[in-house]
Formats: sequence, structure tokens, C-alpha cells
Amino acid sequence: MEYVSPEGLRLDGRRPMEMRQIRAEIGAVAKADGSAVFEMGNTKVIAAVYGPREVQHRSQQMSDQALVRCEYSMANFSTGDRMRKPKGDRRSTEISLVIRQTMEACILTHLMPRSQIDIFVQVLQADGGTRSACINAATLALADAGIPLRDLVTSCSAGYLNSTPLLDLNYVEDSAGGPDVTVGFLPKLDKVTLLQVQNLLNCVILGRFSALVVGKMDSKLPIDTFENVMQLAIEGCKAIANYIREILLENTKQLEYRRGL
Amino acid sequence: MEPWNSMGMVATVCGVVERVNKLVYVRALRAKYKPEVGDIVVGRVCEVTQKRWRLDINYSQDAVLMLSSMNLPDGIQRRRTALDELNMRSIFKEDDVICAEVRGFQHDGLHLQARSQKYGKLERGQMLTVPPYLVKRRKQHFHHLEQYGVDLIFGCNGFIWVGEHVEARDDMVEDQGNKPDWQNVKSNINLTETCLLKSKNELTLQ
Repeated sequence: MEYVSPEGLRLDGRRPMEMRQIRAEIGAVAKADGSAVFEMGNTKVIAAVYGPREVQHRSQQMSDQALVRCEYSMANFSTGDRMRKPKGDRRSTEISLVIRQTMEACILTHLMPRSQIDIFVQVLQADGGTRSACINAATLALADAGIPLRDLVTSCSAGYLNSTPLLDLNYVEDSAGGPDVTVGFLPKLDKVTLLQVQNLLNCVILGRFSALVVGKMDSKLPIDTFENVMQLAIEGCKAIANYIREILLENTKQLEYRRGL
Repeated sequence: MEPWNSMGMVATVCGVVERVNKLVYVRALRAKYKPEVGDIVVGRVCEVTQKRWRLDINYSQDAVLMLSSMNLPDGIQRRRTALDELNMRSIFKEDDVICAEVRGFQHDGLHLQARSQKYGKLERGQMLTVPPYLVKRRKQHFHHLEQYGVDLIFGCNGFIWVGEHVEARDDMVEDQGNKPDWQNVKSNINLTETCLLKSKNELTLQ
């Protein structure tokens, strides 16, 4: 199957280095302390953050830092065929863990001892890159809730099909079976905080990351090509970071205006 | 704020930059309440445990009101006995709304005290929530709208109590008659509450 045409166009008409259109909205869930909706093309995700608040299970309370909990679920109507089990299956548990580790690494938990921060992320429309969209939405929701963060965490995926590195894969390109990479990046600190690789055989990654998951292995890739793909994903993350920063600035201005300053 | 050498200061929260002389800080807009000693707060009881009540005051933990920081119903100052502990629920139970003052931070959390007559259980009224940054710290947080017979308490944590007016009373004196018509007072309370909710998005509450 041809994922990149000879003219250099992908299946949805994008160029290889082009990201899908992103859109974000803050404050979707009124009851939550912080919430956001994040769209990357057709993938739409909603995140709600509750906290810091009293720990619900006293045994899990930590006297020197906050407890971070994360739950990822997909709405039944999010995929083409109605899903039977939206949470509790292995993929959801794994993604919940990945998002939790990524966010926990950047929340300043020592400032809120004996408390709990809950992050709930739900996928409303799934079209590839749900994990990236979830991380971006969670970052926005945490910033909206006024929780102190080391930096904004932005995330983007990239892959390698028909000998071309592609940025921001959609569902069709993702299920093609080529190697792909999901990167979580801290823009101001210039550090990669999450690197998740799928469908790549024999990958050896040197370096320290807060969450590193290696998935199914199918194909081989020379190391410099892999580095290109990873670099492409990082560029995508930087672009998303700029957009997120704009959205937060706009939101802050709105709130201050309504406050009467 | 975290200092990073190569690029100057980076903020850790999203908000508005404020400067006081040489102090620069970023105030988050929707954050939780930040308690200070002496603040008047309005809270809701969520748990009754050994010798204390736990209240929800829109802070990162539940605040603690010790039995010993509370005046007993009979007004006598004495040591709290085991019987007092068993009768705690007759003073406050779960979901009661209470007005108290922040006493300070202890090793196990935030402690409140309600030793004066103006603190204690709030009845016959409604509690509403606004973002904590809207309530400024002033000398007076207890207000009485004489025209309507309504009491207003602005908790620094963003919880506001709108209720029937209660005279600061001595426990020894018998309850007087001549209470204002409850229906009237209730409609006044609803009116005040609607006004407060409308203004919450537009003005700063003083």
C-alpha cells in the first residue's frame, strides 16, 4: 500500500513533515479544577484534573509529596466500531501508566504534600496519536488548575513509511506496521521526557528518560534514520508547545479581564 | 518560580505576574485557597473522627477542627471527656456548614478554631462557591444586610454564606420571640445569592 504518493502527498493530502490541524479549548468541564479539550486532526480528547485535594485512600498518602493518579479511557463511540470495553483493558492501563509517569515527572509534587491530583483523560474521537493528544490535553488541564509544573509537556508522534519520515501519524498510517515513535518533550528545558517506540526491532536507546516503553518489534531501522524520525517528532512537539502557550496566554487574559483589571 | 541559569527565570504556574518592590511572583488564577493564620473560612464537615472534625475548605487537604478548639454547648470551660467525644455528632455532623478561623499549620495539616460566638454552625441559609482569589482580605468578613435581615459571611477560601440573621447571643439567655417571617427571609437570601453569583464573573468582591 502506498502511504506517500510519488508527488510526496500522504493519504490525507498532507506533506510528510506537516502536522494535522490542532485546536485546544480550556475550561470544558466546569466542575473540575482544570480541564481542556485537545484536537489533533480528527483525534479529539478531553482531560479533567481534580486537585490538589485530600487523599481518598489514607494508606496511599505521602507525607512529603502529592500522589498523582491518572486514568485513560476511550469512549465507546470514539472508534469506527463501537468499543465493548472502554477501560480496564491492557492498552488503557498501559497508557494510563505512561501518562501518569510523564505528568508526575513534571509536576512539582513536593509543594503539595499529603494531597492527591487526579487526571482523567477520555478519548472522544480516535484517529491515531491519541496518546499524544492525551498528554497535551493533560498539560493544558494542569496549567488551568494552577498546579505548579516544571515545564509544559508536549507530545507528538512520528513514523517511517515508504522510506520517508512522517510527522503526526493518523490511524491508517499508524496501523500500517512501520516503526513509529511517540515523544514527550519539555520545550523550555529542551529535554525529552517520554520516548515510546513501536514496531522496531533491536532498538537500543541510550539516555535517561522518565518513561521509556518499547513495543512490538517488526522492522529494522538504521540508527541515523531513527534519529531523524525522533528529531522530527521533537520539532512537532515544539510547534505544539507554541500553540499551547498562546492558548494559555489568551485564556489568562480572558480571566483577568473578567476579574476587572 | 524556578531559576534556570541559561534563560533567566521561568514560572511554574500559568497566571499573572505581580511585583511588590523586589519580589516578583506569579499568581495563578484558578488555584486552590492558600490559607493564612487568622483567616475566616466557611467549610463543610466531611468526617467526624476521634476528637476532631474534618472540613472541606477548598484547600489541598481537609482542615481539622479539634474538639478542644470548639466551645461546648453548655458554655463551661472544662477538659473534654470521653462522653464529650461520643457526643461530637450532636454538635456538628457530616455535611454541616461551619464558620471558623484558621489557627495555624500543625504537623498533621491545617487547624481551625471556633472559640468565639460568631463562629460555629451555620443554619437556615445557603453556601455558595466563588474562586478564592476574588475574596480580598479585609477587616470585616461578617456583614449584615439590615434591610433584608440577611447575614453574609465572606470566607477567605471562596465559600460564602448567605443566611438568616442571627444575633450574637448569650447561651444563658432564653430565645426571644418575634422572629422575622421565614419565607420572606428565604426569598431575600435567594435574591442576595443571585446577585453574588452574577457579580462573581464581573467584579471583585470587597
